[in-house]
Amino acid sequence: MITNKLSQTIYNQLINGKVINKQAYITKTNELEENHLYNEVFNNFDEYSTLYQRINFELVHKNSCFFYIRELGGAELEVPITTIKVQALLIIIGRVFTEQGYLFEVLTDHRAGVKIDDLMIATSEERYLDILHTCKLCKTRGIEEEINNNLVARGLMFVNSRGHYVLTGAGASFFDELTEDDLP
Amino acid sequence: MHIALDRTLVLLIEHKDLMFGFIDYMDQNQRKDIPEQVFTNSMIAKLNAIVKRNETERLKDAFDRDNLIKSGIISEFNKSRGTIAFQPAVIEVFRLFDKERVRGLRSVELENIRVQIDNVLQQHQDLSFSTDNIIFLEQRDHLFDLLRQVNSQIQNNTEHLEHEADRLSKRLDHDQAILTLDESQQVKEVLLQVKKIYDREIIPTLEFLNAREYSKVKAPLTLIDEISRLYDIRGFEDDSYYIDQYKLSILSHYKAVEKVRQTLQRYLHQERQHRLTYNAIEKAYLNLQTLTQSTFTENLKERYIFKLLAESELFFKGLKTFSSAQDSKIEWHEREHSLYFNEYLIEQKARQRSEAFAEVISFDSKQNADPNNALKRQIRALIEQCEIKPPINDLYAELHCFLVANLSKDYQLQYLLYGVSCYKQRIKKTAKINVIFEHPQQQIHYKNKVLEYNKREINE
Repeated sequence: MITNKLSQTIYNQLINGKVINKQAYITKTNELEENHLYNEVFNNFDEYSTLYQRINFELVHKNSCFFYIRELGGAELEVPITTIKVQALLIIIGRVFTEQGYLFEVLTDHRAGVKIDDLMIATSEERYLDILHTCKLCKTRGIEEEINNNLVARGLMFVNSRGHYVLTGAGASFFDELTEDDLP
Repeated sequence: MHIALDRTLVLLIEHKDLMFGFIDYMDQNQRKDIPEQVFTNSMIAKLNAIVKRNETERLKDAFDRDNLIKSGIISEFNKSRGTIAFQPAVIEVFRLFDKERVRGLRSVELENIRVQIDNVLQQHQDLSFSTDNIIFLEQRDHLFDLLRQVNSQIQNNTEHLEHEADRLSKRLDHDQAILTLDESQQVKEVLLQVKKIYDREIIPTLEFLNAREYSKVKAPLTLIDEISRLYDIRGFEDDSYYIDQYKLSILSHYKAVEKVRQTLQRYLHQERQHRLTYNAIEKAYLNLQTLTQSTFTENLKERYIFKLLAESELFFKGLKTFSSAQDSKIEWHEREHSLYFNEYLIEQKARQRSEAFAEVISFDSKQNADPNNALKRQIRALIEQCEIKPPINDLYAELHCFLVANLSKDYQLQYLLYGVSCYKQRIKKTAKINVIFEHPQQQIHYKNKVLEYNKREINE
């Protein structure tokens, strides 16, 4: 049975392009906890799915890890610039991080994470800037602002109590899928 | 001044760190020699670190390059290249002093051993086995020398691998999560070391020790078996038996190496997982880079950006555009709602405050009294009433006896100080206290405690 109050919050998040992660980070305790919004959608998936279909959206459950909505059929001819921005940012963060020889786990551990200073290299090297500019990123804003606008605001990253950026379940599952594609 | 080989070696062993430094340099740079500059700098640093002048002079003579060449410790000094190579036997001796520096057997060395055993087998096949045949006797000696050497090498190798597995496991098995980038870099380096040892030392050793290993060439243990059979057929059963014993001894290391392999296996999975992630990210990055470059056509730039990217491949396909301005909220035109709300809160708070009645707080008459305070009061009362009067020869001793007698079980040595202080208060206007520093300090022992004090005399 759909809970009215939760469904309003869920709608508010999904319609604004946010994802609903399985786990939510609690700054006070510096721990990950179950996200009751995720559980609400998960337990009433069929009802929510029908609900969003009626307003021309598809409710997507990815990697058993997060939910988001996409428009049905609508913008197929358009260039998916939003998605490209998000994915390009994630790939560049991953590349900057791994190129420096760090363990990828640090980026997904909610107690660890990465300082924004360590990601600044993305805007100081031409090879990364070329990609970012082509994806309409970092033209007028800095990398921190872009990450906040495109990843943190959407629930793909969060800032932990140490002020470090960490990938949420949704952000991490993007890399999981990349690795799975690459498996022999 | 020339110093004999034995004395020079003893000095080198006494100052092992010097040779360890050279060995580490060679291992890190995968060289068999060291640059002359490294040698000279290490020597200078070593000599500077020694405080005793005699010792410095002695070492200076012993570790002089020419002396080391004369004594044979340096086997090669290449002036044109500026390199110094130590006698391999000397290096091996120093490696034995520290397990961490024992080198494992790698594929090349193991193959070298296999070839040597194969050669020995071929030479034996052409020989006539007779105790009168000098060549046979020489070959037999050579065979046993080789088996002894192989056995010892494999043993050292096993110990080295066990030590390395233990060392690397300790560095990787930590309960704490990796929270900093430095830690993560260190863990990654250790995982790479695990992979290196696994691929270059453990697997070749296991292949070497596996007689059933399928290969185009015969396995070393099979070769030893064949040599043993030759000796058996030709009537040298004793020798055949000893060869079999050597084979079993070499084979016995298989289990230990297999155990090391299993220990490192899980780290290898970790390492593989990291490698796969890195490869996947690298591949995605290169793909992105290629796409970016292909969109840099002057006319089409911006308009057809990433048209090449199949939308079906996008992980977050169709993700809605985010706009914080779309947050649903109640609009109350021409009114600043938050102001009204804050005002309401302030009003509520003020009303709450005025309506609340003050609680009367009274002191608890049954407060838990500190037992020490009761004792202090008791001591003070006792001292006030006591009949100890000046002149007193030793105030501490007098009061101690008095308190022991009156407080009995409750008395502890530290209360004496409080008692003394109370007594001083009592008599401060009528008597004079002298501290006697001439005598050694006095001691009072009571209930396993000791109080040391300078004697105090009280005169009227």
